[in-house]
Amino acid sequence: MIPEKFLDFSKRRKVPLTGSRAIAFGVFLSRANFIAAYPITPQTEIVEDLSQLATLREKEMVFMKVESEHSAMSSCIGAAIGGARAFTATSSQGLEYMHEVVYWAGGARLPIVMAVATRVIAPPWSIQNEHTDFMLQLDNSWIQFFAKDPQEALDTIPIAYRVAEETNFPVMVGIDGYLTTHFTTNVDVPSQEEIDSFLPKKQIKDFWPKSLYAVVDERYFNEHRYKQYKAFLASSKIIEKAEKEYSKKIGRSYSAIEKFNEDSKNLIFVIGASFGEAQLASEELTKKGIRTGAIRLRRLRPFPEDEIKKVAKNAERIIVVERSFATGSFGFIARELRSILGEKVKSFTTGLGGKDITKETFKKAVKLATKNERGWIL
Amino acid sequence: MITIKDVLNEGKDEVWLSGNLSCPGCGASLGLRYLARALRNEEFYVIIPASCSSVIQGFWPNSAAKFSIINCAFASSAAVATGLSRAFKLRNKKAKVVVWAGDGGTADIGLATLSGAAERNEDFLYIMYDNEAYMNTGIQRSSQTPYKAVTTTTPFGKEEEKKDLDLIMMAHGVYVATASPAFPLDFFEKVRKAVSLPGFKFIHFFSPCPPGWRYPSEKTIEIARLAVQTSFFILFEFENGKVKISQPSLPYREEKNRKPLEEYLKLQGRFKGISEEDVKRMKEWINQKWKILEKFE
Amino acid sequence: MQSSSKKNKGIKEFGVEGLYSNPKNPANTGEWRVEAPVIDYQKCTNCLICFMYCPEGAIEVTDEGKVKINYNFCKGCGVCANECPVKAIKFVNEKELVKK
Repeated sequence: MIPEKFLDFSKRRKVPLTGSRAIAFGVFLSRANFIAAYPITPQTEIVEDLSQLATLREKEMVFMKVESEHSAMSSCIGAAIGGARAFTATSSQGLEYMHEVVYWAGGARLPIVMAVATRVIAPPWSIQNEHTDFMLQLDNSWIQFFAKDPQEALDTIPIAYRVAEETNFPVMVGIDGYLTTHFTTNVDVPSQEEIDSFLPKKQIKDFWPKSLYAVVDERYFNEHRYKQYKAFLASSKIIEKAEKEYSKKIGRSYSAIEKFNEDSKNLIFVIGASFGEAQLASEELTKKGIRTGAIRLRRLRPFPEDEIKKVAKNAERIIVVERSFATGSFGFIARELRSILGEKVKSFTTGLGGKDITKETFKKAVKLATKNERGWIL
Repeated sequence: MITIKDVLNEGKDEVWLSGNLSCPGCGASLGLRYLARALRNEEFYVIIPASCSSVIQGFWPNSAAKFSIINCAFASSAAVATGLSRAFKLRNKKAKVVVWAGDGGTADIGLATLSGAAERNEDFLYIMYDNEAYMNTGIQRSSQTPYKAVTTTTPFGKEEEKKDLDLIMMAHGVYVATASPAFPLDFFEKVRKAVSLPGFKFIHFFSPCPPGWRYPSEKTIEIARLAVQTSFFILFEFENGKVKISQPSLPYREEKNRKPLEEYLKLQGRFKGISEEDVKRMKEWINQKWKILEKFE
Repeated sequence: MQSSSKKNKGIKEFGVEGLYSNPKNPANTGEWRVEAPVIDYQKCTNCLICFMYCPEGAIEVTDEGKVKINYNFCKGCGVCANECPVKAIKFVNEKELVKK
């Protein structure tokens, strides 16, 4: 239960929030009015908090308790077509179960926002943190962000809705299971008025009597996908504009990558909450004479090719440390970085099944990278 | 009770346009034509999952429908309808939401979603048009294929009985009705009644298929009529815990008044080679169904 | 090629044309026919049963109340002839129809 004293959204205030609760607050502030809820660890608290918040707006907010994740995303699709602002949240098994309709939402160009609390995909069973489920959703035509802490999780939701409604692409916001979802920090929660000034009311365009999503044959299909692809790449400009405006109105700036000590010959690339440990490792290594920096990839899709090329231009070694299980030649992100930066990208896998990633892990990775182009840190 | 003249006077033009891509004599195309005419004075959205109807409506950029069809993934039709009807209610939009799904997408892959929507009593009409197999992919058996029917995946006849989806939906406590293209005015009345009721409504529409059931296309209506006259398909309504047998099926309550089941079966190539014992078993199943329905009358 | 500023302004709508279809007869399915139905107006009683049962909606009713087959779309399925209570509909070869 959210304590009563936290439920005053009229003023800006600092509140101790877990990552899950921060997302729920972000969704509530964004005036999302259709929540499709199905529980799965570690996302359960998001939907529990939203069920309580929905009672504050009884007539204007629908809290839909669906019977499966597949139906959760399908009902979000129906709601978005009908003009509602739709939200759902899920994790590993649920995300895989709804994968068919996740792809559908991307191709249907619907402005849905989904939070993914990352978790191991079975078997073997585990409810602990791992990014594999988020990574398997790359290239679904979804814009993807990964937040590192509860503050960023809350801020990313209004930005996500703004971007989704201006580009007509759905947006996925990932956070570390347990490391962010169950971790409490003091979060600066903007007031409802401030978010309203950033995120306008959803524009509804009725399409009666047109029909949607019919069969397209081979004469037109290629061109259709080409246009979708061009629109997807062009959405990065709209994302930057939205982030700039958020920074002006609310005071916190976000961009596709977060840099620390980036003018170094070794650059560690991470995603999510372990950025803190990566920064500590960089500091300690630099003190020892091995100049190291850390880059956090915050936006995975559209892939920020230009920003990465710029920041990695003078680096000698890119050490990508991924908390996800890929059976290809290199890790999910390492593959993409290697294709634009070449052989100086080294790919490491660690932290699977919730194992702690500490500054020692990163130091080991930097050491291994001097001789190996890929490896595991067990 | 509505008459053919009434249907004509409401509008000469079709709402489900000619020139659609259905096979000649298609029961589903006829069903959509009736549905569209029944709801012609409303703004209505029809959600169609993967099925023959996804192809019948025509390829982009032309649609045979003068109403909005929203195509969706196979198992998700009831959930998309849930989201759409709720979103309309949130902004007080007066529009009707109807699902037009095949038997595969309803009774097999879509059963969980269907049951969830019925249990939550969502406000839309779900129509299952039953051509008794996965026809769009080339006549494979589904749970709605009758006993001993030949399909490409049951080349010697289906061993299992037809799953009684009517009883399953009655157990959810929602409005359930059955309809047949041979009695279109009865179907009109049921559709119009259903969209005026609140909550979840389910209509089971009998849809004969010439290539799938292997009969010459001109016999579509004759077969649909025989199905009712032999009680292979019983027309009824279930509302508030009570069954009301519809007018066309009333004369066939007693077995002696029904047309012989052999007449229905011999018209269709999919029942070729069926034995006397099989026919006897099917007749017993029909008596069983009447007994169950009468318990709720 | 569109200028980049135009693309950014319109990307919400860019690429969505392939998702919307408009009401229009999909095909001239009259070309599918091998045999065509012909109504004998001497026998026809204007009961409108053929109009009701046509799966294509290809039987129109004129302002005078007479039924007329739309040969642009009639697929020749034969339901009308099978259901006509006075057997006023006969099937003829396509070539004969063209002659008429």
